[in-house]
Amino acid sequence: MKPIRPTAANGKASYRLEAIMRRVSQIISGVALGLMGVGFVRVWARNGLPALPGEPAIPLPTLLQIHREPAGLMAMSAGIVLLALLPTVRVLLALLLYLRRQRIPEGVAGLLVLLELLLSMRTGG
Amino acid sequence: MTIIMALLATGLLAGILGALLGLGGGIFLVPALTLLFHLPIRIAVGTSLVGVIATSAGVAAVAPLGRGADVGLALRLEVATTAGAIAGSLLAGRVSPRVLSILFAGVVFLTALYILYKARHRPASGVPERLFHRDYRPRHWPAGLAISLLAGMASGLLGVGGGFIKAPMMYAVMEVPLGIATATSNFMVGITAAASIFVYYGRGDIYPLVVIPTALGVFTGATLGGFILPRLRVTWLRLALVGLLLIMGLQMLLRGLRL
Repeated sequence: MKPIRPTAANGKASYRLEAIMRRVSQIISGVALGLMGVGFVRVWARNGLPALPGEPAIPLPTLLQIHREPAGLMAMSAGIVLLALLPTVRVLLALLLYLRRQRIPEGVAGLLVLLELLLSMRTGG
Repeated sequence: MTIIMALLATGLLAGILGALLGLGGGIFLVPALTLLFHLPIRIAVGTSLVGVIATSAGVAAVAPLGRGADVGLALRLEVATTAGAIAGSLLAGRVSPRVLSILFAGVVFLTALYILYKARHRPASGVPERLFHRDYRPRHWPAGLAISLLAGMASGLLGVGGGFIKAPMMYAVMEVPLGIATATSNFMVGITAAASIFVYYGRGDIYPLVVIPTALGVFTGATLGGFILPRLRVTWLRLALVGLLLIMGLQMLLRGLRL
């Protein structure tokens, strides 16, 4: 019988990856949801809630021109983009950790997934 | 105000179910947003994609150490899933949605039957099956990768995370413990959704006033689900998974046959 390969779930060393991913998920999703909440309350307080679905999120290139857009919609859009980036950050973290440990198959898989995600961002942006 | 609370409640329910069953929750959100809130399908799918990422983040934020996703397994399968999602979006419009619905209904029914078969034919050791353990090795990689590719295509074509295929596939075909299969599927659906969301964002299909109450509800629900998951018995989770698969399979079949 072949020896069991260590994976993130069954290898002791990978507890570190799980711990990092949990912390990063907590921080990024906390900031993203906070931004969304602040933006939502600001829009509500200023104008009352408009009829749904309201305005679409600010396009990515415009999002960087802070002075041009209303702060509420800007905060909500930034929060959504930040949350959408979280899976990419988690893949990047896994890739770096696997490369440091010279776990080539997982590293190559992580790199391919990251490239696919970047390609999709380029298409959308 | 009522509609905002209703969106929050819908998200909460989708988040709990998604976290417990290894789904992103999109399979519940898209029909709910279109049928109950009368939103156009593209807005519903865009909102659902944010919800899927929120589910994935919520589960990851509370998963106890040693009970999270098998990241190595997820990344290998996700290469096929993401490629499938890209192929699916390219194929969309060329293949009849009716044919696709019937095909995927077939896959879903077969998976449900396979899980039931495996549950009935396990060796009678008297030891209850464990949701999480470390001494496993994923098996049947070619079948796993092929089904992941199909799950990705489902995601690209139908706007769902594909978790309803991934979790049972890892459990039934690759022999990954059910708890780890569920956590890994949660990790994967976040990546699959992230591959599509920027396309929807760029097209102007993301509406913050709809997305935010839904995402807040989903995140809270997924966090609650993440706490409940390690305390569940495998029999309950397996029954819920099979029940859900049968309902979804029937829904897809009816859509395909236009009954």
